[in-house]
Amino acid sequence: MGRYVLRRILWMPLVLFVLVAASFFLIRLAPGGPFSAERSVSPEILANMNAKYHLDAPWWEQFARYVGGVLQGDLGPSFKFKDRTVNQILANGIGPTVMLGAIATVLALAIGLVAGTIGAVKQNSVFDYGSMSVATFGMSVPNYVTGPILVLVFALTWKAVPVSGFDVSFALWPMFVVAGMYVLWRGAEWAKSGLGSVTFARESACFWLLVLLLASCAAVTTLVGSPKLILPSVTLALPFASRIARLMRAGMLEVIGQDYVRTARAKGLSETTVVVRHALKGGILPVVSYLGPAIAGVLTGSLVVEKIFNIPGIGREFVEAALSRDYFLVLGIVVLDGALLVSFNLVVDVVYGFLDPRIRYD
Amino acid sequence: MAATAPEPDDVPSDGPWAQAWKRLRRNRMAMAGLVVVLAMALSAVLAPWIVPFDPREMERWTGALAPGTRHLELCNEMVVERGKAPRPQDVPTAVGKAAVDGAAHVWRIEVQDEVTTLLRVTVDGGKIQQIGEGGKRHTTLEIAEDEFIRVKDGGAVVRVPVLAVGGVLPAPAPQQAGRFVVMVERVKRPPEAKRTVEIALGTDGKVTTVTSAGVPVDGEMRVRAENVRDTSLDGARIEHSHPLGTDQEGRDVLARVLFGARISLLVGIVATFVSLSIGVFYGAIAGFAGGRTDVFMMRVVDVLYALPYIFLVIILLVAFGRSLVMLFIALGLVQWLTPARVVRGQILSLKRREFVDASVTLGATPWTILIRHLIPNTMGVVVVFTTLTIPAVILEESFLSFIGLTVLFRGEPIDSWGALVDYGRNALGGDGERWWLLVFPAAAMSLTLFSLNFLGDGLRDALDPRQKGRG
Amino acid sequence: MADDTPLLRLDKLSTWFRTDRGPVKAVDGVDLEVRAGESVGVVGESGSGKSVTMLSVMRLVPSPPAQHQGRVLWKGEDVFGWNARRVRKFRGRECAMIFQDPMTSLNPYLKIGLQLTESIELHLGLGHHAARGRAAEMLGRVGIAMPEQRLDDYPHQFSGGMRQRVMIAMALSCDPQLLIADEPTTALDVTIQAQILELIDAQRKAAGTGLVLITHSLGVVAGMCDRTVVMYAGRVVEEGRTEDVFASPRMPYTIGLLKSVPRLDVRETRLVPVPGTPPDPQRLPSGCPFRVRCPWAEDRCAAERPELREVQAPGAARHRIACHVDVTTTPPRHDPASFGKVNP
Repeated sequence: MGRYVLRRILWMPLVLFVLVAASFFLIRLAPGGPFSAERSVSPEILANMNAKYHLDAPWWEQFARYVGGVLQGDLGPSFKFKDRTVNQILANGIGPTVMLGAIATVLALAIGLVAGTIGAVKQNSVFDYGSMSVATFGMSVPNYVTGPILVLVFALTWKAVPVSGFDVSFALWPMFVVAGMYVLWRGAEWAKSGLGSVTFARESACFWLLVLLLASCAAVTTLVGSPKLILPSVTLALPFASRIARLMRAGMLEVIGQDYVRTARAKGLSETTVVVRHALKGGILPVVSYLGPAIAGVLTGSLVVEKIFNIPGIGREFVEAALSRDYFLVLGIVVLDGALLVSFNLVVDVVYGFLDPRIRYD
Repeated sequence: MAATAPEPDDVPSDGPWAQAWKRLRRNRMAMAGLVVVLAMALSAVLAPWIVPFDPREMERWTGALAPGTRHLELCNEMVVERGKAPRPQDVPTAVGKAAVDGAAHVWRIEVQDEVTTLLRVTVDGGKIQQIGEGGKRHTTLEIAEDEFIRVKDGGAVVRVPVLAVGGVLPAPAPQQAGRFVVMVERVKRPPEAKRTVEIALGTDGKVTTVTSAGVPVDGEMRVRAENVRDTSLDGARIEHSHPLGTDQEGRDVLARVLFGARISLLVGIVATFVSLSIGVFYGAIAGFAGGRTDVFMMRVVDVLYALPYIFLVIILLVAFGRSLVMLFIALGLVQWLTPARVVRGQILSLKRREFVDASVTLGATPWTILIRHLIPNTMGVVVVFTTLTIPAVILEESFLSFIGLTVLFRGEPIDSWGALVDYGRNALGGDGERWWLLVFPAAAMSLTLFSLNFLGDGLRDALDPRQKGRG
Repeated sequence: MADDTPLLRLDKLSTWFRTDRGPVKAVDGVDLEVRAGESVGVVGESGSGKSVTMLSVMRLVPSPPAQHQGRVLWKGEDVFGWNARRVRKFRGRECAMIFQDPMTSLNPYLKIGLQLTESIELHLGLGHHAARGRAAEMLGRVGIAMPEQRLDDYPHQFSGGMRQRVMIAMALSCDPQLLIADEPTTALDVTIQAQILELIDAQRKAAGTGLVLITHSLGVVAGMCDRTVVMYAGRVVEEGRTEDVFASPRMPYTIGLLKSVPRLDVRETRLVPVPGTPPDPQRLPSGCPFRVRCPWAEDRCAAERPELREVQAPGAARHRIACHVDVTTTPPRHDPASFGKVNP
């Protein structure tokens, strides 16, 4: 396991370096500089500005300077917002983006896993057909369509939720703490006494389910407390919930048909134990390997959702920076998102290793 | 055994493609998808002959019209002159047609001239800061029932009951960040300014007489569409309707959707071709070369897989311009990784087959084997990936145009579905009253993507029955 | 419970599957008895319905799509009438099953220890530590070295034969009264097969467990089973004491089967395969399903389905066959070489 994790960790800087290099050279190769759009600038001032940002230096020196800066945690100045550095802009924007991304991911996981599992266990039931139709729809229709449609239906026509903006309130969190304590207490009860015929104490699946349950509680409490976040979160979560539900259902169906599930039934285990202990671990693997791409998708989706709902996150910042050629800001966001993505992929790989012993001992 | 005569179904008498087609035909969802996709592609290609409207033609005086609303058929500015045949673009289509049918006609236009006052509205951060009229400044300005305001030059009509400092100047007035000034016309139509214009068309298609309020007019007669109250040809009103309505610039939504389909499908097909070409050759070379070359090439794919691709595409487009070619390249570069991996796997297993050894014995060079024997055998995978990659590319292109990176063609933005959805979203209005601007482009896009996905799934099942039911 | 009540009795058990092309009868009116401590071998070609019969007994055939007819009686109680709780007590505690492929029958994601202890905790009511002790003891009994350490291993760390030993330990861990072994050696190396069979036999004899051994190998049955049941196309075609069935088979199919395997006790060098192939369960011939391959087939065989009937056996033991013909008195009518041409 140690070697496996180590190999994964060594992989990270390589991917990040390729990403930074690719973005940097794409930008540097492009005709025109960041200030060429500003018509009123005289050649001397332009030269001065280029000199100030070392844009007149040879490309390798610029690249070395940039990478050196990144290694020291300095992402450089912003050309457009001359009073702020890229670090400051990102520090302001990362809160909303991560908040929204986290809520959406938790919602997608909770809804997708539960719907997929029930769909597989009760195959061909009304629930199965219903949830899979919704999931197929959610997967095919992009979030820049669902978002505006949700706005049209729920915010403009029905006026059930606010249209846009970003406003988080943690006022309801005391309630969440109480609910969480209750869940934990019940969890401890299960662990001690068992539920049905199973003692849950040694079920790693149950531990993860408990974590997910707590996270969903937190997400839902936040949403109830800040209605402005409801539509963005749902918009962002829908495609991933759909995909996860379908993957989970397919994975569970495949596992439920396996010989070892029949063995488990032949032992006299209850259906809950068979599903939770024997089927879940194998059935969830496709979902786990999808989580890496899913996070990339959440980051891409945030570009759209932040635009639709007017949320001051780094996604919206990126689009504006790209359109105004604010190079260091663009690069900074790519570096930040890339780092988020790569570290999340690491976590996913490690979780996969924990779930599948055959990989761990490879 | 004689007891079990094989059913005709099980006989592999046809080639693999015919069998796949048979299996596909049994899949109802996939066939429905195929029909929808073909219909959409066909109507996109035939768009200019299907809809009588140009997607860029603005009937500014109408504003956004709901689907199917009947309204007067006019053109922005109608020009006639006695003794001359009217040019087709200067008169409504119905009049243009009537002029050349060899009969005499009377075209009557009820005009109500307008009285305009110019307002100077300063907007900062989305809020109105100042309203100036001549030398005066207003804090609030009521717009009476019989008045309306209009953006000067742009011609777009803004429907607000009151203009006030601190309020907003809604779309279609320009909406941008920062401080800017909009010149707005306040339009009044006093009843006494009513007059009737009568134009007589002769059998030769030329205008014989033009009268305004009974007074004959010599020389050019111009009438702006927004001043027209009614118009008729030989006593019958000239009307038409837009099946899917018009947007706030008076452009026909159906035409916009179909012309948007052209660009979306074109980008989807070409970029898919680019990405599959790269993917198939890369994968084939890696699989065929094997050994260290293979390991190195696949490691490169692994690294690229981990990158947040769409960011690089955005940078590429911003840095090198948003031309069609650049878009093809950028999107093609995104989608080649998975086909490369799959094709490599196929080649690895294919190259151990006997026919490769046979070709080697016959003296074929590696390249011939690769191009003649191996790559054609991966075509099943390629077909499946084509139908699954096209919707993915359409999604990405629409995503890009949605966030504002519309493709530019000769410096003009081409509105694909993503741009239409973005436009519709912004133009919905406070109560979603202009829903058709969002719903129709969104529906066209969703339906196409839906159908392509079903078709792709069906093709995958048909070409590779063992994979059925995965993911 | 009266002494003569059999442990397990199948009474005209049928199992149907609904498919796109109509219902398929995988098991067709099977009668069968297993007494306490007795070992019964169920023999037949693949697809003859042996496994589905036993899975139906365990209620492990998912229904729907499967449908059952007839009864399965466990000590006189109808298994199909039980509620889920009673079925769970039956599975594992009263009747355990060993499956064909040990590579896929153990959960690859869970430690062997958990997979062993879960049924021990469930059925014997032992605590965690006691259950681990029992699991280790069972592993030791089936010949796995260092059982305590191996409890923390995953299935992929065991070889195929070792995994089947684990499966045996798992099945026997709750002292069931009946053990159903579904081709327990088919997926294993030939060298290990004998060891595994010996292990099953020894363990079951020591505990006095009844055994149903499903196999297509007659040799295995001859060595291990008190009684033999031959199945063909979902039906029982011959049933009797193993020595009777082997010494004087009365059903043409059994005769064919016996001729097709080498025997050490008979000096006959030529092996004769059973001609033809097993029938497609969706298109069974009318009457006796074996008639299209049978050297004794006559007109009656096509017209009328033979029911299971008693025949004379030495020592008044029960010996039943499903055949219209008395092969002891009638010579074969067809040359085996011409079977492909027999018209159904």
